[in-house]
Amino acid sequence: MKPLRHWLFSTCRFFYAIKTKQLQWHTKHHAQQARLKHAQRLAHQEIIETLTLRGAQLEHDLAVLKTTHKAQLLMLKTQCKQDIKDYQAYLAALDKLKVAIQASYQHLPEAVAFTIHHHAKQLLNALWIAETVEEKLRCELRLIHFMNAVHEDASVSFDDADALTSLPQKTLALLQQPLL
Amino acid sequence: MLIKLVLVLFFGALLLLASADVLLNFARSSVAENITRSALMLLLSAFALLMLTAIIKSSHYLIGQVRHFFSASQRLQRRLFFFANKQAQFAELVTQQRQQLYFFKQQQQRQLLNKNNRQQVEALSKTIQHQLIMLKPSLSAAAFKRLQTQHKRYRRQLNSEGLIDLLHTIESLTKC
Repeated sequence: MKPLRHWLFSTCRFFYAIKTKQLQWHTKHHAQQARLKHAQRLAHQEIIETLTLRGAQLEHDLAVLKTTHKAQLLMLKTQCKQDIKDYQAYLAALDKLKVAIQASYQHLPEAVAFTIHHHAKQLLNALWIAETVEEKLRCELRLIHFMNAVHEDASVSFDDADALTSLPQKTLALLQQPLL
Repeated sequence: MLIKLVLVLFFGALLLLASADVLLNFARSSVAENITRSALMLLLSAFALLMLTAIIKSSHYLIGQVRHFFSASQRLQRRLFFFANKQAQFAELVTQQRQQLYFFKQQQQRQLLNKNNRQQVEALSKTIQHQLIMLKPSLSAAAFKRLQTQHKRYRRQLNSEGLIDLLHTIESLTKC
């Protein structure tokens, strides 16, 4: 019975020793623990502040983005409408030019008048499908140059009565040039 | 702490079972029986306590997770993700709207062009038909039929270039 009691006492002492050590460790490191907890709280607070700021920034960015894109889309829509109107106006102008040149050169074969109109329409389509700004500008210049030539030819024949037998030379010269 | 208690109960039960086994050797069956019953009760309590511990720990973990989910930092992070996601969605929407605008513009342009082409083809066809009728007496039946077939085919195909070429041919024939 005595060894058993001795064993029990030694076991209890062992547990008490462990408890004492734990208490000593806690007492020794209490200040450091408190410091670390404080630092952790501060870091957490800092993270929250940063996240709040970032959230507000993103919300603001989104609002700005929405406004900008809305304006850009509106501008694009207006530009598209204007482009379509321009295209329609160009087509109408080409039709008028054909009529004008037919009226000016009454002896002009119908096939030539249709060829002039067809060529002008091809130039207009080339302008429309051009992708780069330089290409667009080049095509537009060619179309305007061609339309000017047709217009000048039509005006010449209106002014000069002898020109009834002549042909729209400038326009026919431009017709010989390749499209692109 | 609960785990320690469970362990103490478990080892106590084992100790009692061992002592009951020793007492059985000394033919103290009634005492041994009582000790065994107590040991089993202890063992049962240990398991019950273990289960209770598991439930308490799981609940703690669950509550911790829920609190973490609704914590300020997590909420703010989710808010950030929401805005970032919203921005990406908006950028995608804008791209699609632009594409849609370009598509409708192309469609309108094509419609205008087709309408104009049809008008031109109509005018060309009328001229060709008129000139063919004028030319009919000076043409053989086969040549007239060939020209008429070509005319109909180009008209059906809305082929302006073909019709213009045909008109050139007819006009050259007229001159001859």
